[in-house]
Amino acid sequence: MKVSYNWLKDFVEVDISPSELAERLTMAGIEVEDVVDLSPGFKGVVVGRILSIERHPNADRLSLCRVEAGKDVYDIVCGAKNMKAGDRVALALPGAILPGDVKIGRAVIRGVESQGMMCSPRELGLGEDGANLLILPSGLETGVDLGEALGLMDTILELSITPNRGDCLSILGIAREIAAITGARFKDPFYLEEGEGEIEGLIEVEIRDRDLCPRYAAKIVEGVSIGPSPLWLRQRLEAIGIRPINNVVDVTNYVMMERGQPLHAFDYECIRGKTIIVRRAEEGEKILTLDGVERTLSSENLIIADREGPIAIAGVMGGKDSEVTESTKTVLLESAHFDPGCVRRSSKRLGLSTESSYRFERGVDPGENLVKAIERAAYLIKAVAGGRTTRTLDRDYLPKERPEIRWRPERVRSVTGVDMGTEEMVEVLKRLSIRCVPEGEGFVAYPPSYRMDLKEEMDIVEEIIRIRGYDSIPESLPRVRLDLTSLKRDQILERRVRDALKDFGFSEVMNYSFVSPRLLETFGYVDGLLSIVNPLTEEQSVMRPSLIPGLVENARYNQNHQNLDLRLFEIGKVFSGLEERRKMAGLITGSRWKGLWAMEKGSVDIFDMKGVLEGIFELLRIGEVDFAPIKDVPYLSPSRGYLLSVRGKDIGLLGEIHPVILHKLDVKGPVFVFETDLEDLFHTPETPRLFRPIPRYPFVTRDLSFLVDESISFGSIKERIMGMDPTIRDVSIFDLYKGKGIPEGKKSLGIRITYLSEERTLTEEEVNSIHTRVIKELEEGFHISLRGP
Amino acid sequence: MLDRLKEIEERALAQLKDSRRKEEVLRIKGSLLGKEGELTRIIRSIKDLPREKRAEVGREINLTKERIEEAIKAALETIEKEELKRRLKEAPVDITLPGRRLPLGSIHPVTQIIDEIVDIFHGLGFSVEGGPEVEEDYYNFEALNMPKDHPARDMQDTFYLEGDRLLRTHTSPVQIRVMERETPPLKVIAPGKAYRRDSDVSHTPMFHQVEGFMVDKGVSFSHLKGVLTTFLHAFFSPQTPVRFRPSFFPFTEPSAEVDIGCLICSGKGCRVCKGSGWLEVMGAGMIHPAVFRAVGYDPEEVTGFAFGMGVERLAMLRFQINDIRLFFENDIRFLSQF
Repeated sequence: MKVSYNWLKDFVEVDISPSELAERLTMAGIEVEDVVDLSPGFKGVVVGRILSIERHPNADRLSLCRVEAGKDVYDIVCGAKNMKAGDRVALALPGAILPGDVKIGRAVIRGVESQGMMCSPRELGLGEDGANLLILPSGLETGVDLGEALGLMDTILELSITPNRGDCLSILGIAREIAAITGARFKDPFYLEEGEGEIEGLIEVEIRDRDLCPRYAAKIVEGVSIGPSPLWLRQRLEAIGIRPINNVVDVTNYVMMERGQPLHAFDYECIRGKTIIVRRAEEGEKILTLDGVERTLSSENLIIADREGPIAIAGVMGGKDSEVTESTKTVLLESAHFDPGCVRRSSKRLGLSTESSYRFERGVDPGENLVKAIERAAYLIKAVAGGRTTRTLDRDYLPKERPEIRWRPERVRSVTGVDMGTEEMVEVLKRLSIRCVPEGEGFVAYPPSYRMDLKEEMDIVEEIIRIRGYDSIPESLPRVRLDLTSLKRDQILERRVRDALKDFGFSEVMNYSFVSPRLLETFGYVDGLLSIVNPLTEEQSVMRPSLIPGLVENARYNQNHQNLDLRLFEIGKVFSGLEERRKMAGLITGSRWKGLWAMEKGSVDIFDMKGVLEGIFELLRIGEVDFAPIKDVPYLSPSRGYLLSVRGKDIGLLGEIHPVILHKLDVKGPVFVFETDLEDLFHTPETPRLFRPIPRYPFVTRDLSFLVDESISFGSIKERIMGMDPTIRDVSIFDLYKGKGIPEGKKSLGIRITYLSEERTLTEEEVNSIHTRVIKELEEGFHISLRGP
Repeated sequence: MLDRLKEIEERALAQLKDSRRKEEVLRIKGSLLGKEGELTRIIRSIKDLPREKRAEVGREINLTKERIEEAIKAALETIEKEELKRRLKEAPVDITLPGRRLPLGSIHPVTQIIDEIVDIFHGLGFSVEGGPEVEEDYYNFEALNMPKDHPARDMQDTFYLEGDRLLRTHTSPVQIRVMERETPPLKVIAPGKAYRRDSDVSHTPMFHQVEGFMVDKGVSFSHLKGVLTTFLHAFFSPQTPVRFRPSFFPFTEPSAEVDIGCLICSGKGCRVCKGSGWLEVMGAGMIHPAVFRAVGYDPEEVTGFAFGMGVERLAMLRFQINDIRLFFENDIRFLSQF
């Protein structure tokens, strides 16, 4: 909300600079986001008075004016027609600068020198009219700077008002706060119009839903003439960002900004049956609102109706049919109190938020301000649009008992940790117009009617410490009972796994949890997805059921930016149906040894990804992990997809992204991925860390090279050998070759067997005898044929 | 036979003298002393000699063998010495060539900042909790003193899901879930993702927060100031100015915004702090009695404070990142900088 420093000064005798005021407000909870110096867009323009007007000797359309400005008199050539001798005008003297950086100098126009220029509102940036001169109020002293004369020198404070402080959404409200914070004197001197004529007989007011509209005031102004507002009024509204419309509407806006009470002006003649009915709308009732939109109402909308139908949506917006127009002669003013929740529902349902609804939602003072506002408006309308006013009709159904808040000074001290005297607390509350009456150990506080946010003791605590200043609270560290707070196992493991992946060359990514349904469809996810009802875009409308589509998208993005060698991982939640699970996924593509010289070149394959997983499993000490081929994961290549399990429990997937999907997404392949469930992974029991003596005897190795059917896995060969003798400690692979020189359907395998005994040094003969048995076993079991020596 | 021995010895010594390579010496050694070596064969043939000659020839053979072995040892030593000499004279390598290793990856800046925050609070005795990202209205709003139709809900534009659920708009629901489950005293922080319908240079629809709270008998606003100032001094620097100013959150009262002196201009006023000299970094306050009532705690019995901070904002300040969207573009040229 914007407030004008000058306008504030109408209500509070503030004597500190705008920037200091901004600091004080911010430190009391009224955050000032910006302080804007509102100097006018012109310089060197003064108030002038036309002494005489003559025809220009050489041009019919121009006139020659003598204009007095203080001590001096100037000859000015002018094309406008709306002035007469004696008028006060805006005179730009040579050297003046107008908005748009227009410099004014002496000029000879049709043979006559003009010693300056008289300005139109448009030339000064003060209005739309560019054809006529700006005629100033007759009381202004001539020769004075125009900006000062018109009070245009102002500072605008941009405030951020928290939703609990509806009472601060006005000049009056901010002025009250300033008075409380700084101790400056508050005043509310404004002229009100109680009115003369009777209102009874002119309008019936019938409140049907008193819970939603506990107070309603009306007043009639007869014989107004609608037109543009005077400059001062337009100026004040524009300074705080409100567009002037006409004098009556401008006054209602002005009073709303000044006193925080939204007002509405109806064209009295348009109220059918001369009756105002406040009621819930009937289902399907329609109204054409001021913004020209026809809106269908429901019983959630409270409306102002006449005998025939709705004429306004209570607290939100008026109807077009009863709008104040140029032909309006009599105005009915409304100043009412509507239930905040009701206005909020109504506004939400219609998707219509206005200055009025914004204030009602946050709580408008239902007290005497409601009547003061309508009388202030009547006064101003009379001043700017003429007319006669009736007295105010005030239907007041508010409960008369005042809210009472019990509070204890001891509580204030213990919650804030500030050693503060009770008298000081009462004094602070007094500055906020909160009256306190002693009762028992504490007080009963009676907040003013506009402080609807104050309901319980803690609200009073906050008010006291807020005004006293948070700076006055000492800093201290609590004394606590010592207890064990270690990070949880999952948290520790997650960090270790993350660090390991980083060490393996992987970069952590973070994708949005919501993705495009089309992307998911490409990956074969169609059913069981969790959709967002109100997404920002279609691209972000479904919760991800897996981290993998996001990673593949990251690969594409980076490939498109010339980065082809990628190792990425992500840890985050995935969603399906009611369940959310924490997962970890990785992706690898491009060359194996990126940027390394004198190393074997080549693209990564599935074993690079498997190796990373094995590293993590080793880190977590979860024991033997089984990689079983799996064919039904739609996004994995059918011959390169594996289900990971530990002792029969599934923990994740490894595989190559299906080439068709890569093609569709325009991603260069091959791309290998894994995904694992972190909870399952971290809850897999660890192999216990127990010491085993270091072998005292040397080991012996024997190498074997042989041809075997391609279908026979290394794992099955290893398993068979390992089970044959307790001295066989390890079976590792040192060579795998297929292709040239090897018969179709076969592969050449080189394995190394390590023999070791813990009791003695194995003899040549012992090893030879076991090794011969191994060869025989492989020949019989896997039909291998030995190669080479 | 003795002639033969002599001849073998002379030849061996000559060959060894010419040998410049270790392999050559070993080959010569093998040809003489190996299983089928010349000398070995002669030794083996001693048994064929007449008994009276055996002792003499045997002695001669042993002496020859010893001399040859001596010569082999000497030859090897010479070669090793020369080898060492040569290696020490080798041309230097081009050490400006890069070393050979797999490049390190990187941890996302948001994760790094979360870890830092967690470590500081963990050091103060706070434990770490998590909670669901798909939440119920009750935990995200109602229990946090934001009933339906409360205008404070406007501060957090919400993503709704099917079945009356929503994406949590802050990490504060963790407060409720932990307090429902545990009894005071509590010192907890909860890092995690949150979601709001918002997207521009300074907002992404998903972002990270760290929530924290402490509940015990006699916890005061003074403690809140002490703990958060300690944290901010640890996270930024002990010289960083910190200020607390009143604000409003439905679930705390009194509430505060926490500002630090602008890191860019040191409080003089610049574009980053919009001329104020201060940067907003946290929201905080004393836990509202209504929140305690919602979880069945007696507000007369215990008090507590709560706070929350935006991780991306802290990361942007720490690393001088100017566009929040960079965090989620996952450009490797961005990620590898951290």
